[in-house]
Amino acid sequence: MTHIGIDLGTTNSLIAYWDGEKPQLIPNALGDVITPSAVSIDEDGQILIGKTAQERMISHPESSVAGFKRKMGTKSRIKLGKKEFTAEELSSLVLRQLKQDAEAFLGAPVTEAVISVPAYFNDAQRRATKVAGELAGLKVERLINEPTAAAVAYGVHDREQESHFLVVDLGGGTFDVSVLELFEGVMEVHASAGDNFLGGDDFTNEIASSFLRKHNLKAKQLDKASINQLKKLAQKAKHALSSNDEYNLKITLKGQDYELLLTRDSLEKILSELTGRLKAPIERAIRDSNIRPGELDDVLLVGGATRMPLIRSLIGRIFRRLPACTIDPDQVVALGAAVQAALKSRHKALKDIVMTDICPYTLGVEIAQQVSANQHQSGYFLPVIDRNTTIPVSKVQTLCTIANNQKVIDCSVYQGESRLVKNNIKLGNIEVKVPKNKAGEESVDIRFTYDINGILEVSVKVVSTGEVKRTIIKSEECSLSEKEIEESLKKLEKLKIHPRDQAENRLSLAKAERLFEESLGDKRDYVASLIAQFEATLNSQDLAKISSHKAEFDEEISALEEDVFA
Amino acid sequence: MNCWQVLQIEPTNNKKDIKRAYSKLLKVTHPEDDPESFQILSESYKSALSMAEFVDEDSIESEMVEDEVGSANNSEFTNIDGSNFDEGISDGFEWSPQEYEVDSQTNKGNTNEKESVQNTFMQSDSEGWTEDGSWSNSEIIVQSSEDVAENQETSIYEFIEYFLEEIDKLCRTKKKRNNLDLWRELFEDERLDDIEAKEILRFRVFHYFSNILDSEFKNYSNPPIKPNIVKRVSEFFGWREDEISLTYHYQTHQIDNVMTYAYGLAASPKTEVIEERKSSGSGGYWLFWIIAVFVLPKVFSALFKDTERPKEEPYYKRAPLKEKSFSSLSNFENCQLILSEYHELSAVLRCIQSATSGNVKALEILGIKNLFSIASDNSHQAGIDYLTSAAEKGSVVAELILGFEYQYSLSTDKDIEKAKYWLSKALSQGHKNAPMMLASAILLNDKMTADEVEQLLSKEIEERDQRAFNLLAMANLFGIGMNENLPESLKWFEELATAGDIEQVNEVAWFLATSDIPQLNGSNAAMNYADYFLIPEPTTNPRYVDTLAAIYAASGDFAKAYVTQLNAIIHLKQSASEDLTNAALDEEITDYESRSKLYLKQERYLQKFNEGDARKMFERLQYALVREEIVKLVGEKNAKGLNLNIN
Repeated sequence: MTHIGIDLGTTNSLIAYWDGEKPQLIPNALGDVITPSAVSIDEDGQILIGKTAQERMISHPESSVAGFKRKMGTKSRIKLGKKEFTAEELSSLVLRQLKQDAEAFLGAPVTEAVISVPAYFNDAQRRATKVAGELAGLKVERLINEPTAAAVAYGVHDREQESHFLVVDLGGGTFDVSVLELFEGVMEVHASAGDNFLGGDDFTNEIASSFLRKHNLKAKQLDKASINQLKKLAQKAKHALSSNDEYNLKITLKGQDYELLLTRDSLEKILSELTGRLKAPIERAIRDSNIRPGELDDVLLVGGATRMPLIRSLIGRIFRRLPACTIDPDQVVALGAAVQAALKSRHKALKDIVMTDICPYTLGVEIAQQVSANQHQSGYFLPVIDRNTTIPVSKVQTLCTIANNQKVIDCSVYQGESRLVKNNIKLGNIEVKVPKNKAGEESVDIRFTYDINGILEVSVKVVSTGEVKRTIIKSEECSLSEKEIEESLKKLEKLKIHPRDQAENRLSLAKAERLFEESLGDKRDYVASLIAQFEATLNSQDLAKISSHKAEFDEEISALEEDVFA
Repeated sequence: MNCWQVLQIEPTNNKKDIKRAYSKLLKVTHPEDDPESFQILSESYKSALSMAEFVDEDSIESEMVEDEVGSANNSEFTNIDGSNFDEGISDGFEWSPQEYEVDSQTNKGNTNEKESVQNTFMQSDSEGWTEDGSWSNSEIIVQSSEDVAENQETSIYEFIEYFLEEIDKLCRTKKKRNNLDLWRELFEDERLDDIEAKEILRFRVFHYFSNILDSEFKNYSNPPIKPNIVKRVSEFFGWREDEISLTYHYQTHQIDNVMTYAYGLAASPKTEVIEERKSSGSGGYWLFWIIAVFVLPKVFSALFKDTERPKEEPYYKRAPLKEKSFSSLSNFENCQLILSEYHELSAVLRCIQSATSGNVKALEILGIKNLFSIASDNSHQAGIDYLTSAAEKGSVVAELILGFEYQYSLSTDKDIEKAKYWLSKALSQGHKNAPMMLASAILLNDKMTADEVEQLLSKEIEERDQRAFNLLAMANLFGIGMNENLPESLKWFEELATAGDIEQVNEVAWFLATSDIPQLNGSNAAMNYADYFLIPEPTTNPRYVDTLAAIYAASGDFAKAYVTQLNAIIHLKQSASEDLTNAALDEEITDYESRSKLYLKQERYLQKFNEGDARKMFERLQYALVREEIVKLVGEKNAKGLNLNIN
């Protein structure tokens, strides 16, 4: 059996396997190791995934989606053409694509995988990721935290050293920081912190909206395609400014030309608020790990967004050192996940390595505290499992009644770092009946068990009767039920997935369609005629003819693309 | 099993050994296969790492010797490294309270302490804090030269002080304090990017605001600082995002104060009156009854019950610092890190961690810190709690301090019974200062018979301890805590006088001859001591002659007193050249002459002394005894800053 690791990212996903000595990335049908986490549905109801879907974000904005990882663990419905999907379902489509790519590459069925999640993903988001795997026909043997995966990849890379390091993982949609220690074959996570709604996409969006502000434009006035096009250009500007000092962002909107000259300095200003948000999680992780910044042996950068010079210089100022990134920041998480898959099954090359992770949130229950003889203040948060406790872990707190003849104890489970539950996130609650008795005479033992995948089980035992009630916490608004999962599976089975062997042709077409959207006048007409010709060839089903036409077609399209703004 | 047994190693301060042991066992106790055993292993590993900071292998032996020798009057400290260390380890594993609070309110420290903080900063092996020029530079500059590091570290410290001053300036200036732009500007300082500086400021600025939002700070109240300003500051430092870390250092009410001020009532918990619920909650409305769980203050539950409950993980899970920054608590430098005004947060946290895992020494130090040092009463309870746990683990020092504290507490928990309880415990453990502490406590606050006192102090009497004689003499004289008994008192005075050298006699005689105590009137008590100054030959020491004159005056023989006093003046002038400066000499002569004039007028020279003064003497005795213990624990230098004043 092959050990598979998957990085299911907000913008891009990757799949890797353990070749017996080291992790290797698996290319998709297009020969790329990176598959954009985008899904599109075409006129025939066929599902397109990856690069092709990404191209279609501009040409077919109504039937294409990306960035759905941010909706994981919520019940919000995402429209794709005429159909609606949950984030789990869309993610499962991406996973299924990756699975097929791996099967094609390895020539063997892939049924199990380790999938990475942001360290700061909460319970519901983790469950949703597991469900997505199941929907894609993958048994998710382990969820691994992304920074941990990155560290594992680095750790295995040069395993001789004993060291402390900090991983800064700024992906497309999420931000994670972890402090780890590597010693004697033990990879120990000391602390994790993060922001589930901060990533490279936010930086792109901020550039786009600042462009609109500069020109007194409102996003509402623009159609979806224009907005997607502007975002694409904003991203291009962001990338260009990583190597150049300035970039001129030009776009035609509603028949009018707009442009904005961006420099590194102006970019820094535009993004200052977002970069500011990077600081708090870093500070917290350092605070929790109780390691002085000077004791860190390395600061590792992970995630495509850390390529921005702006981010690097911020990290440099915070830690007074140059961050390291000897492994491609886009690939390191997937590689680490594959290592973890091998670790999990105790592959002989990794027999001496054990990894321990932590729970990134404080988990606890709501309590009332006595303030005077007959007055209680409720709304306080009593931590049961403190954040950054090594997992798996199981903890008990004993609570008692506060009123005479109290019949019920309501254990509301929360996650968060505030002393007051109202500022924390409610995960669910369990009510248990207790025998009538004087205040304080009846008590319950609340046990929180946090497993190695980061999933919480709560059990409540009434001390006097020995009655036990246990539950896997499910909040009302998230997590699919068994039945819902089955329905999802049926729904997904009905979907026609675009055949893998035509992926390249489909991508060429999607690129051309996007170019059509972006062009005007004669050029647009010309692109349209090129598309029509190529489609005719595709319909002929003559493989030799298709292949030669494709080469020609690609060449022509990319030539046109070069002078799109000419 | 304690953590060392779990790890299958001997207690050690070598963290490498601990890690090696952990790593070895981890491969057998894999987190995937056996989560329960893994949890025990992982918790033991962390306990061992935090205890390692308190293990001082070299000093274990010398410490044991020291304990046996411990002499009564020698307050000079020699070596107490690792005291109570054994208990710390063996108890540590079973016991760990969930929560402790450390107050980081600071008192005014001296320059020494400042220097020491600078030193600690310099110790940290950071690389590349750049010179001032680079503050404003957004490019990454990395330097690693060590001599540069020294300046750089100083500049973090300077920056912190500078920044606090800037904040203070803003807050103090009426026109500026509510100008959001000025605050924004302040926070734009690039030096705040440095994580170390910002982390220290995060707590110190919180502390500052918790003070100025206190009604006592009138300077800032007209117009008051606006909530949105406080909110801005809170957002900048992420107070609210991570309130739990604030609860490690501040009391609930302090946090409530600041947060409620900044975010309005929405930030405060809701109060519910149980009685009201009861009326509406009867019948089928059990819904009203839900929630309703309450926890005794967790500290107390940990202190007073369930020693058998399974071990809970310490509230603080922090990875250990390297030895360099914090090696062992027994080191006075480290006490300083914890006890000084600029106490180092990480050191305090280390200490708390050890305390929560039951280390007695850590508990003692935190108890002292909270009780005496930094802040008067708001950390008081934490101090008591720490010491109570230490005392319950058999720390005699903690017992004595608790006994002292329950007598003199400024807050409401003054409790003589508790004081007696703890002092009796110390007594039963045979602590050398316990009898005197207990005797003073009972005499000052309660009653006992003379026999009982003598019984209690029998060992001291046998050893001719002057403090015990003094105690007995005064108690008998004024009837403090016992019946008044002048002859008995005079007997003890004589014992006191003869327990020392002639100087001691002089002091007792002077006291008896010049005190305006009505009980002594006509007793001629001082007369007994005249011979000490005359036999075998009359003394020439002016001070003794001065005393002799006072003795004659007390017995009514003013002529003799006058002549003797003139003698005293002559002796004084003769002896003067050696050890008195002119000004001091003149003053002394004036003083002597004033007495001679009194004798001429047939009046005694009297000094005020009453029962209150005697009681104060007892208090001072207790104070000295307690202080002696504290000095032993933390060193003279660190004890100096402690606000131990009983008044």
